[in-house]
Amino acid sequence: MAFTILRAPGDSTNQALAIFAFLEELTDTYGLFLENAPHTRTLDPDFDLAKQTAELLQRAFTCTRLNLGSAWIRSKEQDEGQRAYESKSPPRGSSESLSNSALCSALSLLKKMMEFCPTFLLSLSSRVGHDQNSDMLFYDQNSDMLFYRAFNSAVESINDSDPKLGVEAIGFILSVVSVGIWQYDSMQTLLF
Amino acid sequence: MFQTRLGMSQDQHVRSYATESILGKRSEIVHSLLVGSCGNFDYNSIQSATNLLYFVVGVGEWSETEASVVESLRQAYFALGDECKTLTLRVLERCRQKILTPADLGAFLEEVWRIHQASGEESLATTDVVERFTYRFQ
Repeated sequence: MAFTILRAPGDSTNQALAIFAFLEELTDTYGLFLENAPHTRTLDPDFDLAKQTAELLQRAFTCTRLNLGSAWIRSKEQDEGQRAYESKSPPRGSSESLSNSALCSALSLLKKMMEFCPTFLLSLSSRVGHDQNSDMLFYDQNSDMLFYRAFNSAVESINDSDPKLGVEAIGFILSVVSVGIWQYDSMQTLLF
Repeated sequence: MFQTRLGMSQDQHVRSYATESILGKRSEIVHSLLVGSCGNFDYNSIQSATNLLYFVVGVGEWSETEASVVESLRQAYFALGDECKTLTLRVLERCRQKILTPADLGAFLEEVWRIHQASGEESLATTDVVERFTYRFQ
């Protein structure tokens, strides 16, 4: 049904927002299954769950990518051979509130995924069919990884004029910090 | 309550990548958080910004973080003068050393935010408000 919603005619960004909300609930319930799903095809039902979730997530991001802010777009343009300082501004002016709500929803979902299934999230390309299975893909920051785009977008949004977006951006970065800086005992008692 | 579900033995790659991601953007994050704390943030953002700044100054080499802070504070958004720039750097260094807690940093940033709310265009460096602020957090 989620794929049907995404493919239906109409406002693709609003459809993607609905999918982000759905995926956030799904992550809440099945995040640990996604985290531990096998990377290669097996009879394990978690493989299919992870595969379909990944595809749905990537299709939702593809639908709404033009409303996800400059950092998101810039990565794409650089992938196509353009230098960073030559990047065009994204079309945010005419639909600022829609842009902000799209990025807010995306960051809220990705924060949840960093909490429940970081390995799954970090393995995803931003495009369908470009995922990799090697553990070492995490270190390639020049690739078209979903996390890389999201993290850059979050850093650029900390001071956004929309305070809700700023809060979501900081929340997502904190979720990354909490995965990376596990050695600080006080982290568990400090966050949220 | 937020906490990661990763087990201690699971996925060193993921943890390393998360840390590398933070370190790779440390200067931008520190700069954005300081700019936001100087009046740009919505008041409700101060607490989460404090949490993030506290942990970001705690990772990697202090010399690199220090350089990022100094470079950021040179810019015009900071209206409290040179003495407060030095004070800000010292406060962050004490956070790094765990001498100050996140609550201490939160109180400091909240005061910085409040003073900047009233600053307008001109520098506040020589006002009584800033003098009291410097005295309080020295």
